[in-house]
Amino acid sequence: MSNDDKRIAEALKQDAPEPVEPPHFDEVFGRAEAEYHWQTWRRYLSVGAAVASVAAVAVALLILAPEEAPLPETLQITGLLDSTSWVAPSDVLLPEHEFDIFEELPEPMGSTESAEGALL
Amino acid sequence: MRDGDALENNPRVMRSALEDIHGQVFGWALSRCDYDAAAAEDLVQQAYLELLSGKAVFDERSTLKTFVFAVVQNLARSRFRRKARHLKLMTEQAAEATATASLEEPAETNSLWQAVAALPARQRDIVELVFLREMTVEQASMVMGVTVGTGRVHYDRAKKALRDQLAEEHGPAEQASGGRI
Repeated sequence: MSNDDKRIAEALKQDAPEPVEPPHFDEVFGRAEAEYHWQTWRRYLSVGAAVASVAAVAVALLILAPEEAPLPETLQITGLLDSTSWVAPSDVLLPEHEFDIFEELPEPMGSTESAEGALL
Repeated sequence: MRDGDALENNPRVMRSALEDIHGQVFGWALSRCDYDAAAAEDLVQQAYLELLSGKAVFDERSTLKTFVFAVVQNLARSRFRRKARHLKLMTEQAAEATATASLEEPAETNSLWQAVAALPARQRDIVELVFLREMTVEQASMVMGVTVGTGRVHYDRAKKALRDQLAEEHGPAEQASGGRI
């Protein structure tokens, strides 16, 4: 601090407003601590209250929700599939003959054997 | 791992260290609240709460005193900004009334503090921090949240204004006797 600064500082300190006695540190710090603990508790309480509210709403919805209406019979797919069968027209060839009929290719104009009246 | 009296959310801040600077912090808060002791006490309590809750974390980039002063300064700014907006109209009316009064009745004394009070806010702050709170310009700039360069500009301007005021108060005699302020 230069001499200029020291002189200004001295002049300011001489004319400074009356010093006010600071409050006791423990008192002020204690109040801050109490406020901090209260804020922490308040945070926990608000989180707890929010969770409880959500749970209450969920339970209420489960309890009060109307039972699902049964599907109309025409839309009961499982029953419909069980009671219905469908076979492709060509399936009649499969159980007995499977690939037998395609095992040997007929020779064009060479075959004289017939199968059930048809030339192979 | 924290020491015995370190704060839970501010492991670098010791309770005992806070107690050591409590008086200075209160003095700074007092000047932030127009010397209203109750408001200053409330402000200091709020600053301690910020430290306890970890909203303001001390990282040892400055001294603890500088850091706590900056916390008080920021709190005072945000706390009184809204109040200041509400009171703006009243202040303007009061300023008008004061201006009228000062025209009618000139002030009895022309102390240095009146010159300080007439300075722009930033210059006033840096004068108080450097001359009364015994901080360096760097520390004061940190408290005010401005760069050191800006802080120096405010400091030089404020010092010039006060130097002129002192010269006016003590008259040319002192200057002639070699007293350079």
